[in-house]
Amino acid sequence: MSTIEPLETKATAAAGLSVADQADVGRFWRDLRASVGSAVVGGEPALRLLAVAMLADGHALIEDVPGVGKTLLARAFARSLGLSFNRVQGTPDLLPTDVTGSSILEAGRLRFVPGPVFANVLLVDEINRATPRTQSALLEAMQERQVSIEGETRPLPAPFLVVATQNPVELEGTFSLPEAQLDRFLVRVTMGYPEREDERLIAHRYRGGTEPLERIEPIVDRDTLLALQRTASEIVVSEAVEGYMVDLVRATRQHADLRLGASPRTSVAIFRSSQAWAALAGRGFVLPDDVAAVVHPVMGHRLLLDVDRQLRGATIERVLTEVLGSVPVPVPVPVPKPER
Amino acid sequence: MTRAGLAFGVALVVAGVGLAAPGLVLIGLLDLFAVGVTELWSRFGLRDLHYERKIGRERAVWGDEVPLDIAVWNDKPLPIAWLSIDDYATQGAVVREEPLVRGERPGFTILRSRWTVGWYERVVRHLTIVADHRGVYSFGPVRVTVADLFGHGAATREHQDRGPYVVRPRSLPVRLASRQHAPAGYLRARQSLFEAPALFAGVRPYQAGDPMRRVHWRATARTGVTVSKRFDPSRALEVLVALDVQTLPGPHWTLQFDEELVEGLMVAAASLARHALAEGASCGLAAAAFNRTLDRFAIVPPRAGRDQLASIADMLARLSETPSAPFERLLARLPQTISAGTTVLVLTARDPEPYIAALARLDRSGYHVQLVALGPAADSVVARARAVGLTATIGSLTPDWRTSDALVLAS
Amino acid sequence: MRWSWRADLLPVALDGLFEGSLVGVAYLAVASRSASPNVPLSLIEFYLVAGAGVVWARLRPRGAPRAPWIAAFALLAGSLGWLADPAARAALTAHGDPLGALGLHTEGWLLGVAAIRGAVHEEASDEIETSTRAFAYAFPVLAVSWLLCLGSAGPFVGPALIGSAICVGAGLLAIGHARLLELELLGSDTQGGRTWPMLATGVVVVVAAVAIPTALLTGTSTRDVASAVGGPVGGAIGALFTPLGGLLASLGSGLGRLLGLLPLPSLPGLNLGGSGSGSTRESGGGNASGAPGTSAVGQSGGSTPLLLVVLVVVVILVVVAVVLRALLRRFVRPRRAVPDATRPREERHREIHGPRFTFHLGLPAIRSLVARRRPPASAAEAYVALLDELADRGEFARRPAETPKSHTERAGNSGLPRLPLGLLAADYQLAIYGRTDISDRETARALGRWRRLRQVVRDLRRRESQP
Repeated sequence: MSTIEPLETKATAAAGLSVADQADVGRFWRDLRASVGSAVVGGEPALRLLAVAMLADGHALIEDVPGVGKTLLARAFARSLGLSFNRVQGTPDLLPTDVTGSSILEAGRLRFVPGPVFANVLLVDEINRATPRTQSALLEAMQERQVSIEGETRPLPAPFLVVATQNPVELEGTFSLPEAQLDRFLVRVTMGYPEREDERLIAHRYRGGTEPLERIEPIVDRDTLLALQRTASEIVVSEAVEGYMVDLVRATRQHADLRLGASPRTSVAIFRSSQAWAALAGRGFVLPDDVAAVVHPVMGHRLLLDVDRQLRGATIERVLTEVLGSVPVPVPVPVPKPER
Repeated sequence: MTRAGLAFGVALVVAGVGLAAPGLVLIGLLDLFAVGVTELWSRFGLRDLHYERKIGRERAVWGDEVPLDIAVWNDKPLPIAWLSIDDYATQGAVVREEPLVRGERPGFTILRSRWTVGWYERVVRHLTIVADHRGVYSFGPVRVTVADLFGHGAATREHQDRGPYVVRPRSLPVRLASRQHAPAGYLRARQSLFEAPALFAGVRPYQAGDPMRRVHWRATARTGVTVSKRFDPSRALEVLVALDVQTLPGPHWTLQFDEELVEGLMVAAASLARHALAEGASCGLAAAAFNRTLDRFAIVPPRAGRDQLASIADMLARLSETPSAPFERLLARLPQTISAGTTVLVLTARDPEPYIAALARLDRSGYHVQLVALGPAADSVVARARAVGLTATIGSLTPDWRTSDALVLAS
Repeated sequence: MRWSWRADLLPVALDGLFEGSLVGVAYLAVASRSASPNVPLSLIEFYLVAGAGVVWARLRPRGAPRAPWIAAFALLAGSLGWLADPAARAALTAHGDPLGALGLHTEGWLLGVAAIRGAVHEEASDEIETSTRAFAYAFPVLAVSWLLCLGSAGPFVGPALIGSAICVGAGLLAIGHARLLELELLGSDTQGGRTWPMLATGVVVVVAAVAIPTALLTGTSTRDVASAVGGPVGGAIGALFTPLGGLLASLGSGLGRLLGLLPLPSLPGLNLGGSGSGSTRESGGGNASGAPGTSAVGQSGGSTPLLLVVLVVVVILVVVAVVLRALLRRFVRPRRAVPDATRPREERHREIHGPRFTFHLGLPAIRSLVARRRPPASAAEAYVALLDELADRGEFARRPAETPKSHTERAGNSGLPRLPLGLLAADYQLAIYGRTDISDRETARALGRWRRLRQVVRDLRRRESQP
């Protein structure tokens, strides 16, 4: 436990954000952690990133090997938020209309049947198994937060979060998401294999035939969630920290191992994610540490390695670690206040 | 040796005093001094002595120079006047500043370095590994020997500290003499195996060669223009580079090879794989060559993704210059490994006669076979392949695989 | 490759001294057992011939067979050694009795053995192995030589003692020098070339520290010791630079006489063996240098305080070593067999975790004296001021890419008080990143933390500057 945190919570009001608001987000995170933790063992880092995606009004891509609990985490998360939830399984025969919805002829009239995308939380399992056309339709909906069907534009509900899962060990019959479209996702989450003790607990959870998800009750309602999103968007970001974010993004454009560095859209993503990260920590302002914490999940899938460098062992993780280690953290000298 | 020296010295001193021979006393005392020095280094020399080896990166491409830092830290007040470190390296490793000497262990050479290290001193030497030959290499184990400056009191210690590095072949851009010579991805399969009939995706203008059942009659009647149905692909394009490692005629077990041709084939294979993956295809590799595993065949299944090129390049680095089995046996095994409709790019530098029948069989089974020939016999290879109805292209690396800037495909 | 005094001539000199001493002491042992009181040859001749043997072997033309080449020189040297005895010369020339002459001064043929021994060091590249192998039997050969002379009344002890000391010292230096040269050729930095003078000084001091008291305890006088040390060296140099050689020889003799004149309480020398009295050398003949008192065991001089003598000799040795070192550093460059472009780049630095032997005076850094900033007035200023204070403290300084939080963690792990540093960093973050006004009470507390941390850092600095 850092010695800094007690002082932060005792701080006087930061600009435009009350202590109560900070406490709400902090409490939300604690409750969410407890709720999801009752069903999912050891997934706290991934859960935190899902919460960041929700608070920052973005989407999340969970990429990991089969069997580590990607779907379980997404479902537990959605259930804890008490929002409408739909699930779509990515298959090669999934049509765009299977996702967005279509009109059917009923009693001589066309009736629109909304697709699963019309939910607050949409879980798309194995998105890389869907065809490119279906992927495009989904990604477009994620970006626009609306769908256009037969000339009519229909807005998607708010909040709207898409959690997609993808298997990085891509076997035959898959269509990997184009790198250029990956930045539709605010964060890319990996879960990794659990620790030994956690794995034992996982097996224990299924004792007695009970489904872990059944224990989860919603901890928040839709209006509260929207308020939390507003709170997160008002988290203070000083000029020094803003400059730090921009410096990090710009540093990727000069890195020799990258064919394509991060775009200005990434700066926005870092900005929003850092705010959400700080809010979850119960703080009313963003620290450089918050920025550093979100760099890997936010930037990792937006960079393209140079193939020749990749053949020489370069990896995105190493590049980002080098960038974090080389860009100076701003510690500006305070301007002395004039004597009253 | 120390005990004998000690006894000798003591005996000399005693004899010198007893026999009134001052020279014996002198020699005895000097001998005892030498024994003391020897004992000091042999007992304490290796204590708190650390050796560290850091290879700049574990992956390199042919022609690269990889930094190699070796450091010695003497964390004690006793200076090390003479320190010898033998770092065993697999045969073929090249360090620019230090010629590796032949070791007593077969298959290993030694990076031998000699040092003087002061008290509490840390010395780092910056060397350079020259990746001048494709392969998998490693450094280690390490044998550390300390002695006084007169060569006495040697103490030796060995520890297993391995540092691998892989030298991958170059991969070059693929330049097409004309679109017709493009490797898989551009040429339409003779059978529409890439498209899933259930995934109707619209219509397109009729093209000569479209079967009648593909014509969309209703749309044709409505529009007055003949149109064919279009389907979404059932999966992404899959390509397998099948590498014929054998470069000289004769039985595969003769273990003779043309090194220039072999390395040219490796570069071509890496280049084709890189091109296919960049075009969005799933790509794999197959070769009948030894690959440091028990399997006679080296197979990397076709996949897309960021790490696939690295996997293929690693496999190419491990491949031997001589075949492990007849190439036709590998071709016969491919249907067990790849899905129907996969494009098989056969890369060869010799007369395909021994395996042309297997190629034709593969082609008839629904795999799109395309042959890319390298080397001085490329023309005849292409002619032979075309004679049996296979698609064939000449590939060239000009002036050679070391300095060429592209793999050029032409007729 | 450029010719180098140290790399090309010094090994020859060391090999000559070693092999020459080895054979020379054996010669003295054999000669002392003969009926004749005369010892025609001195150690200096053996040094010169052994050194010449090294050079002769290295000058062998490519294609010339080795054995005849070496044998010819050995035969010549042996003949000269044999004919160094006036009696043998007379028997051969005056009396015309070659067979009779052959029976005289047969030990003189050992000069040819010295030539052969020198020729063993033909290959400079094999010098380490050759010297190490030769040194392995130096002790037994010397021991046998001494045993051979037990009870002999001949003039053996003094010169043989010096010869034995020179043999061991030169042998050690030859091996050490060869190994150092190899290290340099392989690219190791031998402390900027300082290792060789240190090695030479160390060997000379140790050998002298053992040899000189032994010599004195046996009754070999200081004048004899000084003459014996200065004499052969002077004689060797005098062969090339006669005036300097003569000066050195005179210096050696003069030192002995000076010490004998000092009005100091005398201690009787402990006579352990036949130290010999009087010069046993005939001047002229085989004396190559012509310098007086070369390799001779002179009269037993007056005894002098042992400690003073040892001290004087050690001082002379140290002075010689320092002068040699200065000359080496100024005029001699280590030869580079490997082009600079392919030599490995080497970095050295010292990391002392054990005893410290620093003599820092703990003066305050000039920067802090000159650049007096105004004291901080706010919590944020206090934090920045603390970072400035830590900037020159390697393990505590904040790295450019380190956040205040991570810096606090690392500095805390390195020993800085974590809590006050963390609270000070938190105040800074609130003020700067959070744009929050810090209350006056909190500001006062922050300034207090700053003062305490500053004191901790200064205390650490003071502790480290103390030996």
